[in-house]
Amino acid sequence: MKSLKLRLVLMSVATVLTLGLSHRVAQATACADIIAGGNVYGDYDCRLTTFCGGWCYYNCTCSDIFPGYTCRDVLVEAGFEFGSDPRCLD
Amino acid sequence: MFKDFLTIVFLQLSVVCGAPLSPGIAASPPASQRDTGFKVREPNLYAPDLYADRVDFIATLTDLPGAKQKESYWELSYQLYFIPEETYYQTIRQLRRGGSNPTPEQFAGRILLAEGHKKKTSLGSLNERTLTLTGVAFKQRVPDAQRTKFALLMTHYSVRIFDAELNTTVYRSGIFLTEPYETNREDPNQVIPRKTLYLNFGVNRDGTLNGSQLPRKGGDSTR
Repeated sequence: MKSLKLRLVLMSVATVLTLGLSHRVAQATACADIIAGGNVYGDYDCRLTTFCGGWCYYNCTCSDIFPGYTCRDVLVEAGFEFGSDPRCLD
Repeated sequence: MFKDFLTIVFLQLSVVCGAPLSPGIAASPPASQRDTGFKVREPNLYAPDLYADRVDFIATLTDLPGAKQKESYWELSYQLYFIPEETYYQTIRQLRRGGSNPTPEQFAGRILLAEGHKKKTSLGSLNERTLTLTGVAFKQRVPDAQRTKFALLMTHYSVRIFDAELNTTVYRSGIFLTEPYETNREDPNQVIPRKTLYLNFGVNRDGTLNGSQLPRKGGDSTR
């Protein structure tokens, strides 16, 4: 009987921990409202415009771009992929 | 860190050494430069003509599988702010590099233009799933010196949606940022004062949430 109680307590603790962890992961994987930073090609400032179907769409501007390079180079280096707005909420 | 340093050195050497060694290549810009027209922001450019006297706010719940079920509900809290240009870029510099979800409180000098909270339980038609706020005073609320082109309008929202068909509750809180102006649809080379802020949400069949601040093209969803 004592063992059963102990198991129930441990299972409850495990469930709470699992749920808490899942919540944190879900939050971590959600779209960030702003992505800003810089790399060797320049600085970028991207603002979320749409989140849809697991993708996050941003409107980006660049500054301090290294001569001979473009905002596209900055963003590609930062890990962005170019894609058009999905119009998923029309 | 060392890798970044090497990359910078390599790039600088390419620029310095590349021109005299191969004048033919140096004379023609790279393909990415030829076919693009990137712009650089002119800081604190005074542009009062790009500020509308009043703005409207339209929030829509486009898709909801359980829209016809009476237990479904949509709860939205929102605040519309003006963020001075200088404040925005100061805050961005203080944020950690990469993705972040700042709150309005992090933007000092923000001006609250409007706020509200609404819970809707009758969601059968698109009209019932639309919340409209008209005539929010804008230009007069912004000090003249802060009426610059690259200041921002911020929509801060907290949304909670229960879909009775999916038996799921979705929740999200965040911000959308946009400029006080927009491109003129009739003349894409011109910009005009932005008169409407949009906030759209939709629940997918798998229980995930879509969101956007872009204007809808129309059509009575829910798919």
